[in-house]
Parts: sequence; structure tokens; C-alpha cells
Amino acid sequence: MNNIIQLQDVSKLYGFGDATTVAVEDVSLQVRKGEFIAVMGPSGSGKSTLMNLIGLLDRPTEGMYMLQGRKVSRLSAWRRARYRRDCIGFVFQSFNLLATMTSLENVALPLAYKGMTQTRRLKQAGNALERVGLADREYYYPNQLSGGQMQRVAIARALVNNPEIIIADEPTGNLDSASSRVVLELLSDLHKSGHTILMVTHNPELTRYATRVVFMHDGTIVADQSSSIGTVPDIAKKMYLKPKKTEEDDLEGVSALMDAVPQKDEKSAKKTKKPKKKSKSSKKSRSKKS
Amino acid sequence: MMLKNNLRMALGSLRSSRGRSFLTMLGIIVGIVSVVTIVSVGEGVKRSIAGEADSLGAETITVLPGNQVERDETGTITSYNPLQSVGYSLTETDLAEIKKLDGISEVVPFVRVSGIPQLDEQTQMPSADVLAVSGDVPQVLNQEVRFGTWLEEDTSSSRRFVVIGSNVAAELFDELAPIGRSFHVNDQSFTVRGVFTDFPDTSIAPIAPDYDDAIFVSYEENKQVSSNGQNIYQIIVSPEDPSESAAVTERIHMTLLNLRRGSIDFTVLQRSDTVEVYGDILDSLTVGIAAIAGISLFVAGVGIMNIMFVSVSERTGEIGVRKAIGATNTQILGQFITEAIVLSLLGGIFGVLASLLANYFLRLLTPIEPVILPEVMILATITAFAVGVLFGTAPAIKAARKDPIESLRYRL
Ligand SMILES: Nc1ncnc2c1ncn2[C@@H]1O[C@H](COP(=O)(O)OP(=O)(O)OP(=O)(O)O)[C@@H](O)[C@H]1O
Ligand SMILES: [Mg+2]
Repeated sequence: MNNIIQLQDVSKLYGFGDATTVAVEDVSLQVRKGEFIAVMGPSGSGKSTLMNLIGLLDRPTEGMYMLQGRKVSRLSAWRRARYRRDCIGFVFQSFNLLATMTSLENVALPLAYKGMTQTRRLKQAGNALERVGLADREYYYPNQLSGGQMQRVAIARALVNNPEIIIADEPTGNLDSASSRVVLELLSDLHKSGHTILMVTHNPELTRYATRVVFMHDGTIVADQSSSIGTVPDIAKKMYLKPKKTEEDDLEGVSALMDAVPQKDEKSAKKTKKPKKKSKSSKKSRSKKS
Repeated sequence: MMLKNNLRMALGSLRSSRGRSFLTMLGIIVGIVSVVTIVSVGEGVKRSIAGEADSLGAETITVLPGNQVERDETGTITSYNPLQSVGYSLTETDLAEIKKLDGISEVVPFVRVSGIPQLDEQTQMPSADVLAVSGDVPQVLNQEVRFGTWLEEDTSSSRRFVVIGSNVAAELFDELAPIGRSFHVNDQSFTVRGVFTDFPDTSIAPIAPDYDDAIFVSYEENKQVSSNGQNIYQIIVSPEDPSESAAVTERIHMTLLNLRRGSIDFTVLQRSDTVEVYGDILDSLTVGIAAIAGISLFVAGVGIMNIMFVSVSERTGEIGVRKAIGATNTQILGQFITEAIVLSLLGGIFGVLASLLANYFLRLLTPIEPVILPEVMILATITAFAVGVLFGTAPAIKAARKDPIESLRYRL
């Protein structure tokens, strides 16, 4: 009952008719407060779509979504915006800082939508920047910062509202390994201070910060494993370390995943073999068409 | 609070794209400047003509062919259409009857003589008006003959004399006072007896011919010179007592009406009427041109809309980010509408300043004395502002409706 996020048979379809793509299919997921979940899976497996659904940027086509014990699957755009503002912080692969604003202004932006006064906003933004170690970069514009620094500013922006949930979709996708580490340390700090974190990553090394690793394939969750902090779960290694964590080797990644999944069969089978309208094979052929 | 935030955000984003902001405002600025300048020039000209008419001094009555005016019950002219004179003319009988009336000191008929005056083979002046007149023209036109004298009824001389306007002296003879020099019209020889002082500049008043370009010949001479008979296009009457002007006007009107058995195909104007006619023409002119200027304001609005649509497309990524971090559709709408308002407001302020500047330079560099009417300025500014906000709304709505996920795909 203390699940902060609860998804029940959630699906997201794009398009219609013959061109329908099932991006997320009958996903059920419970996230407890304070978890750090790493979401993995090959490209196109629906990770971003799932994150957008959880982050209330999008509405599920079907299924039920409870956030903080309240049903949010059919909320109006306005209410979803309120939730995003107050409960959710986003970190994106491409940082998504506004180029015309300084770091401080970027970080303060979410507070503006709360109607906070400028002085309080900038003060709070300054604190957030300090938390990510960029107090000395307040007046830098994004193009004057390194990629790692930009992502730290983005993290400051995500946490400035003190949201319960932080969603990071491939936050290290554009960063080198040193910067990735810094970013993950920051997310880990946030995790320790009680935030619930969902992070999409292709880098199995980074799953060592997570308390749980979820694998997606073709829009479904095919494996879901808790992992103790500091260790990389076997399944992540199997999936990715062979093809050297690169995304262009997705096909190999998929076959590695397929090899890996049977070990967890009882668990994932339960999840994926609920009665449903479309068989998996028919869905695959459809998404190929699109 | 939200308002202040919106304002700050709008100023920030306008500052960060100064070029585009300026272009957007330019439409509004040009719109306001054109409306204000056109109307103020019109007003200035109107006032100068009214002043001119006052300074005419001589209280004269003008008789014209055709019914060119409409009047309301009080006799005030409600519309004026000089084209109504086409096909009508005043006759020798009219002239004779008017001359018989009481209380009249001077009756001057004007007949336009066709023919081009020429000095020799090379030098001619096609733009000159040859006018056959009788009576004391200097008095009824309230203008002095500067060099030489006015035509006397002098039958002893075998030479035909003329008095010319200053432009004719300059163009045909290339001298200030070509007294005694001769030229030809339709193979008839004329000798210059006098040159008028420059007439006040009435070129803007469409019904007054430019007497600086005129050659005045004696009324009797015309019969020899002209082949197309006596077409009297104007009779100017000067009353003995200026204060009796209205009564004399009425008398002329009744006489002509009787001659024509009740059909009004003539026009009798007193000086006060003439001023009214000028004002009327200018008013409709000003309204017409202001309407065109109003269209330029509309175009300015379309420009704003266009540039804002481009701006919204370019800033799709930004909109996505703002929505992801919690902006509601209404807040995005508010932001873009605020931008439109700020742009329109700034455009309005700059437009007002620019029109003052345009006014200043017009006074400095041209003989026109534009008069800025505050109500026109205010109206133009409010209209420009409303247009800006109105046309900024559609792009703002488009921005507000953007899907956050789609928008986030765009590069910032
Ligand atoms: N707007 C859309 N319209 C149609 N199909 C879409 C749309 N968005 C996503 N999809 C489809 O949904 C599926 C899942 O996409 P998603 O972006 O969630 O994958 P992902 O796991 O995040 O991949 P990656 O690792 O490359 O980021 C893909 O097949 C994609 O083509
Ligand atoms: Mg993705």
C-alpha cells in the first residue's frame, strides 16, 4: 500500500488501424517510496514511453495508474501539469536547458510556475545549484558549460521543487564515463535523501547505484530484479557486457536478453502472460510495419 | 504574481531575440506612424486652407455651372461633387441678368479659351490657362497686379493686351516683368500689360485653378480667339456691401432659378460655403487615406501573427521543457500572450515617438504644417495595440496546445 507508483496493465498505443504501434503493452509495475530503479532494454523497447507515462507527460491508452495512492491515469492536462510541477522532476538525455537563461534562471524556472517571488526563487535555485556543486556557475549560460555541468544544472532544476520522484531518461547518454559517474553520484545522493528515482540507462555499470533493475523488451517488462547497491546484477552483465554496452549492437543485446530472461522465467512469465487482446507475435509484426 | 512572472519572462525572451522582436514591432510602428502622419498632414492642410480662405478678405460670390453641392435644411453644404458641372455651362443671359441685380459692384465672368500660348517655335507653355474675363479681376480675386497695370477697356489701341500670372512670366518669357513683350495664342498676337503677384498656394484645393499659370485676356477678345463659343465656367460677383452677401447670393439664386424655370443646374457659393467645400473635400480625403493607413495596421497585425507563429515553431523545444517542468497550458498561453502584449505596447510607444519625429521632420523639411490631433494618436495606438494582441493570440494558443512529448523531441 505504500507504493508510490502503481501501474496496472498499462498500455500505450501510437497511431491507429494497420499502423498501430504498441509502445508499452500491459505493463504492471509497483514502485515503493525510496526505490532507485534502473530501467534497461534495447532501443525501441518502450522505456521512454513508460517514463513519460509515469512522469504524467503522457496518458496511457489503457490501464490504471495510481500515483501516491491517487488514480491519475485519466487526469486532465491541467492536473497532470500540476503533478509534474509538484511531484516529479525530469532529467533528460539532452539536458534540455533553455539557452537564453543562465544556470540559475534555468533552475529557478519550475518555481516560477508555482507563482513564487523572484527573490525566493533565485535563492532556492541557488541552493539547488549548490547541492550539485555548481554554486560558482550560477551566471553561466548553458553554452558556457560542459556536458556534465549542464546535466548537473538539469538535475538541480529537477530537484529544486523537492519532488518525490525523479525520472531520468538516459541522463548519461551524452556524457563520458567520468561525468556519468558524477551524475550518478548526484542521483544516488538524492536517492539517499529519500527521493524515488527511475533511471533509464544502457550502461550496466550504472546499475550498481540502483536498488532494482527492470528490463523491457517489445513494450513489456521481461525481467524485474532487485539488486543491492554497489553490485551489477548478473542479468545486466549478461545483457550488455557482451556487446560492450553500445546501442548499435542492439540486436545482440536482444539475443543476450533472450538468453538471460529464461533464468527469471517464473517471475516474468507471470507478468507477461496475463490474458490480453493481442498476442505478442501479432504486435511485433505490427510495429515492424510502422 | 503570475503576471509579474509572465512579464519578466516575456521581457527576457524578447531581449534574447532582439532582431525578431524589433521586426515584429516594426509593423506596429509603421502602422501608427502612417495613420498619425496622414491624418495630421490632412488636418494641417485643412487648417491652412481655412486660414487662406479667411485671408482672402474680399467677400465674393461664385456662380458655377451644374448643381455641384447638396445642402441640408439650414443651407449647410453636406456634399460636394465638382463632376456635376460636366455638360453644363453658364450663359450670356445669366451674366446679363446677374449684372442687372441690385447691390452688386462687380461681375466677372471667366471663360476658358482653348489654345496654347507660344513665344516662338520652341517656347510654348501648354500648361497655361488662357482665361477671358471682364471687369475688375484684381478686386474679385483680391490680388494686386505687381508689374504693369490691369486691362483697361481701351478700344483705341489696335493691340491686344493681357495680364499674366507669375509662372507664365517665368516659363514663357524667363523674366520677372515681361511688360510690353508679345506672344501668340491661336495665331493671334498678344502683348503683356501686367503681371500678377504670386497667388497664395491653393494647389491643394482642387476647385481653384492656379492663377499663377493663367493668362487673362479681355472678355471681348475671346470671341475672336476662340472657336468653341462662350463657355462661362465661373462668374465671380462682388457685392457692394459685404454684409449683404447672403442676400445677394439669394437674389442671384432666384434669378438663375427663374431663368431656368425651376431646374437647379447651377451652383451659387458664398465665401463661407467655399471654406466649407474645401473642408468637406479634405475630410473625405483624410478619411480615405486614413482607411488605407488602417489597412497598414491590419497588415502589421498579420505580420505579428506570422512572426509569432515562426517564433512558436522555433521554440517548440522550449515549450516542451516548460511543460515538462510543470507549466500548464494556460501558463504557456499567458507567456506568449504577454509577449504579444509587451511587443504591441513597446511598438505603440515607439510608434508614437516615431510619429512625433516624422511630424517634426515634415515641419522642418516641407512647407506642410501637420497638426497632430491627440485623439487620432490615441486611437491609432489603441488600435495598433489591440491588433497586436489580437493577432498574437492565435500563435499563443498554438503554443499552449503543443504536446509536451512531441515538443521535447525538438532540439533547443
Ligand atoms: N509518437 C510516436 N508515434 C508512433 N510511435 C511511437 C511514438 N513514440 C514512440 N513510438 C514507438 O514506440 C516504441 C517505443 O519507443 P520508446 O521511445 O519508448 O523506446 P525506448 O525504449 O526509449 O528506446 P531508446 O532506448 O532508443 O530510447 C518504438 O517502437 C517507437 O517507434
Ligand atoms: Mg528512449
